[in-house]
Amino acid sequence: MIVETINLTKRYGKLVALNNLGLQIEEGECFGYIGPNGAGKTTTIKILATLLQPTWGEARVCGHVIGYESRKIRPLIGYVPDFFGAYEDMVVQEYLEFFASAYNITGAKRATVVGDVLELTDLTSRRDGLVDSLSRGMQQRLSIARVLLHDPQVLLLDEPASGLDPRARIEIRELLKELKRMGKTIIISSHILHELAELCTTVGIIERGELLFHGSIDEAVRRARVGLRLHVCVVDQQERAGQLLSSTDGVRNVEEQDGQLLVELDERIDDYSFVARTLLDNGLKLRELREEQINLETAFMRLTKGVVQ
Amino acid sequence: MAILRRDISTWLWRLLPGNPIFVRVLHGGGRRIRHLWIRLGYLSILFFVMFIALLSQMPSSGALDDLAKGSSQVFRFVSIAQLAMICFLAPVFMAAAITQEKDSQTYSILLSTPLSNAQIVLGSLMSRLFFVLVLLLAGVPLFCATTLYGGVTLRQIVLSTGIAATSAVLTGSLAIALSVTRVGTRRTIFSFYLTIALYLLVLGAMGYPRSFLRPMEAIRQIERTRALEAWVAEGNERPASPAILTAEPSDLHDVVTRSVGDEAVAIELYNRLRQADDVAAARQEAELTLFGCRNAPPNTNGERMSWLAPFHPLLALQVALNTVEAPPTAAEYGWPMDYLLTNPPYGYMSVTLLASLITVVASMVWVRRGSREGETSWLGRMTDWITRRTRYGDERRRKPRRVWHNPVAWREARTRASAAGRGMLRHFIVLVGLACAGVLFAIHVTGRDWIGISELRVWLTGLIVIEFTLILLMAANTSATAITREREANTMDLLLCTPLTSGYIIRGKIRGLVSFLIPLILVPVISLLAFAVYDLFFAFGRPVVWIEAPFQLGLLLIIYGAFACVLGLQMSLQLRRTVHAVLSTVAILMAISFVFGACGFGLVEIDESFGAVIGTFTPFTAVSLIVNPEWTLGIERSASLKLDYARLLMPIGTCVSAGFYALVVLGLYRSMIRNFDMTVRKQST
Repeated sequence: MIVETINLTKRYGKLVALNNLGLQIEEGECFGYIGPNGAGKTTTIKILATLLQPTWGEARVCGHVIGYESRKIRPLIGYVPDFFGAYEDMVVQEYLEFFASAYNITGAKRATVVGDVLELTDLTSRRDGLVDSLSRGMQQRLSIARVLLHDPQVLLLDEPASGLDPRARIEIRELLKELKRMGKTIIISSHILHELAELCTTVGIIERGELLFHGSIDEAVRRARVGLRLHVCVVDQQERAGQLLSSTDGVRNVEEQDGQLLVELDERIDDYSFVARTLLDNGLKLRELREEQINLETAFMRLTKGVVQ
Repeated sequence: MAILRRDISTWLWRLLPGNPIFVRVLHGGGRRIRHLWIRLGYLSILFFVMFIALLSQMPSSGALDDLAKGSSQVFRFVSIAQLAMICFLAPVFMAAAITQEKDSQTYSILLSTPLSNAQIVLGSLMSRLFFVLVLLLAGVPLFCATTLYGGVTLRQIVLSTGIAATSAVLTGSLAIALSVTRVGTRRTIFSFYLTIALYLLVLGAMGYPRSFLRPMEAIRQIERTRALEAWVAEGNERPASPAILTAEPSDLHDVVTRSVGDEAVAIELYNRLRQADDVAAARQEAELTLFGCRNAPPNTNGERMSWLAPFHPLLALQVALNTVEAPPTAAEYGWPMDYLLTNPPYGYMSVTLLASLITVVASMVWVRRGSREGETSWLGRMTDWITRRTRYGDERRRKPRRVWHNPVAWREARTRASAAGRGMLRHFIVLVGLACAGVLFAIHVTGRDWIGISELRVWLTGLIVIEFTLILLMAANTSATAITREREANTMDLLLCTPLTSGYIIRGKIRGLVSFLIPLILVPVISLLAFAVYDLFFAFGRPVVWIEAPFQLGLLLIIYGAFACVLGLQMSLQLRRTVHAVLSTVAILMAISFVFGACGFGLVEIDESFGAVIGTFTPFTAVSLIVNPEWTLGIERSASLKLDYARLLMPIGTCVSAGFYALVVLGLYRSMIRNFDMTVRKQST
């Protein structure tokens, strides 16, 4: 395991930000960390970035324990916070050289490394631009360039796409895909779930400091699927159709939504042909019958709503 | 008509008493615990000053006349203390207004409400002024207590409070103007109070040496003494009669003839003395033009009011306190100077209120020009030109500089401390400091007839004190913002994630601060060195400064600068907000410099030997002692043995003092490194 937390707990006074968190992340994995605002994502990432000490439990990065071996951990990680820390009166190249020096990359090597990351992040043409005058997307790319300077094994990215326009988001996503191909372990928290689904191999869903789910996206979808949900539409007699289906065996709930019926079936039922049969036998004309697709977004909504614990 | 009257009264009501911005502060501000503590501290200091003044100034006899005089002295002390505190506190409270609205982005919200421009500006101004005015009101009962023994009039109390209040109003108006034009950044806060401090210091220093503005008789006597000394130095016999120094020009011929037997010699001496009279007349003219009010009568010490009195709160207060007298008429200056000079306290209040009014009206006009935000202004273009930046749309560009091996030191010295405004300010201070020293040096080399050695020494001391104050202020501000700015700019977390250790970060910051301060420290040292080296080769008798003075001053400036830097860093580490860190550092330095300095000046007068050693322990006594030991230690011109003894002891005192402060600096430095991680991480949670 490249990153591991065991009963990780963090309290801010009476507030429990993290409660016995247990994570295991393999080398080369891209781990998406999902949760509502205030769930404890940033706290976890800050602990892994050696910025916070856990109140209880243990966190390890590359086998080193946070709090005891933080100095050994820092050269191995790259942390991108959810804000851009802009130094006043510093241009892009100076900014990168500043951090390269901080990682003890000096002399000719520094110039080479800075040039390389500028190229990788497509910022070469902006090397003399003042960092505080760059656009949000450029600043985010610069943040990623900064964490690549010392070639870390683990990247900790806290909301890297927040506040970006669609083009900048796509560019950042492509950059992260490239880093994933390069074999970096990436821990990324985000609210843009469909992008995480494209990028991540595993996800962790956290709510109120507790890890609700940890595993692959397919597994999350499977866990969220507590019963089939069907979208049903009939010609004219929508209300009657609703009444009919409500009283049918195997149907748990029927709701009307946007002119359609949302039919929830019992967990044990896989074959939903009886729904069509019931409607047709009662003389109703069926216009649409389809199964609701479960994606990461739906899974997240269900899992964090307490539908599945 | 009734509707119009009602509309006007409603408008006036909403303008201030019912102004929602002001009402919000009125409801919440007065009850804040922090404000209660500040109020308590303010009143405690006033009470302490009053107590000390009562002990030292009140006579032991019960004569009513003496009691009234003592009471008047007590009132003077308390008034000056009040004004000094308001001059310090007003910029402090007002400065926060410059960026608060911008930082919390509440201006856009305010501007989108139906509140008028006047309501927004006056509401913001009054909500800022409220606290300072409440402080002033809290001090009024203390002033009233000083009237118990007589000697203090109600007019004096009103004038004293009025001068302090109008100073606060002007400071507030300027802060609001900076706020509404949105040119204010966090850096502006420092420039704002530095400008105010410079104004008060420089104008005060120019207006204060009223002892130069002596009556013609006194100047004539000085010049004739100098001419007579030169005459005796040439081998002539000294005339017995002292009257030749004080005689009126019309009687001079007779007096000289009576004193000197030989007619040819008498004519020669008479001509020399007449030349001295001409020098005295030219000198008085120059002094009056530069600093003096021609018609102001001298007080019992021979001091006269400066024409700068209506433009400086302390100078105006001195007239209100009857320390110096305003001239009965100043018609030759023309209106409005005639009014201002004959009534300096009222003049000061009028000028201040007028300036405030203009600033407030300008702010009202400007406040809704937010639509032009983002457009390139001439000021922006000028800054870009000075800092060699180019613009590509919104993006600004500049040629990259080489980053040092220690990135923290590089950032501190090259980007943060030397960022546009502060870098220019540093160059400005260096250039102006060298220019002023150059002027004094030129006067010393060429114009000895115009200014005596002792006076030149006083001017040099004043210059070094101002430079020293600026060095301390810049060191305090730059260091006190070093860590808080990292936190506020969200860059501290980025640094903490790197392998840099706390010791490395602190050392880097100190190294950067030292690189920034060295040119500033060199200015006074080079100035003194120029005088010392010149006098070593060309002066006969007592030089302006002794040869050891530049080295002592250099050592003390470095150690006091280091102390200010480490103190600032400590405050920056301990406190979360930049404004709090800067103000705490400045307050501590002021306490050490002024309070301990005042004690130091008192102590050095006890005994020359004791004073020569102890005087080096507080910054301003040290500067004064090194540049002007005779004046500081009260050694008379003839007591050369005492002076030699003091010269011998001063380097010892300097080394002991430097050692003491070095230990303090080292202690603070070690404590910072020990607590850095814990404090920073604790604050980040």
